[in-house]
Amino acid sequence: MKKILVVDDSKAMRMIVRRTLRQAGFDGNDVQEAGDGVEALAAVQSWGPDLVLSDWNMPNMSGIELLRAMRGGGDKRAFGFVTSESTPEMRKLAADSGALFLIAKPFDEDTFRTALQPVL
Amino acid sequence: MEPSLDDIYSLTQQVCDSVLGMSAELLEGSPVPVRTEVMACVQITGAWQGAVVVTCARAVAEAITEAMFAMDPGTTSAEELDDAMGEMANMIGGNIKGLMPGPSQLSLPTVAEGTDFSAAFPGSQLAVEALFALEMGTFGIQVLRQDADGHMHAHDRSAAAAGLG
Repeated sequence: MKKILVVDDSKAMRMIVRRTLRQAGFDGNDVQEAGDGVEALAAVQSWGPDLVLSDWNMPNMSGIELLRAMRGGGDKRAFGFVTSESTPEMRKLAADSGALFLIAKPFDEDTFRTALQPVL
Repeated sequence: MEPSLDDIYSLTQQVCDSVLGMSAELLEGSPVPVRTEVMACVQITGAWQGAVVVTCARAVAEAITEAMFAMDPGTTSAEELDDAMGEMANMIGGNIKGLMPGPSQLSLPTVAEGTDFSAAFPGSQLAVEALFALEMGTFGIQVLRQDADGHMHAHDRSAAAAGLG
């Protein structure tokens, strides 16, 4: 069983991500949630997830700031974005910053399965 | 440059299908009603500047919220409604941002609710609007484009406020 941290300032979207994880066949994993990058960074340090699934645009600390903070501290754990914004520039920035994938909202379980299978 | 009606239709259908599990029908040629009860919007700043506004009656917003949270009818809190409608604006606005020239930034969503409010986007004009029908009612999407000079124009201001009663 793997630990997955779902980071999004929208509670509705966190629920949808959880639902999609189940539909994609990843329901045997331990899933916890964080409402922004600050909460996520604390959870990364205290809970130690195997995978962080993060929104990009959030108050307090954005997803890209979270990723940079993790990588800046030498944290190499798996990280992917789930965001409504998916321009080529953002995909490149995400990859250059150390993200494994960027899933665009809206998404379906097939997209989740393809992106997460190599990690989980 | 502005998004086409086909763009709006396509991405709205994707959002409704995958997030709400509902089919949205485009009511072609129907204007977005001036009076509304819930408004959610995001703003885009940068190489392309504007706003994406989602409006609907409270009953429709409640149905969208219930679908998004997979909750029982009649149990929606104000916080959940703001969350769900903000996410609708975020998803639609984020996708529209991706269709426009970049780089640009997407704001966090703003949600307003009530029967006696107005919203203005100074310096903006209505670029495209679409009215969609769900089973429980209609919702509107308006894309407002801000002039490059950012100047206020009286006729633009009235257009930008259209649909936001």
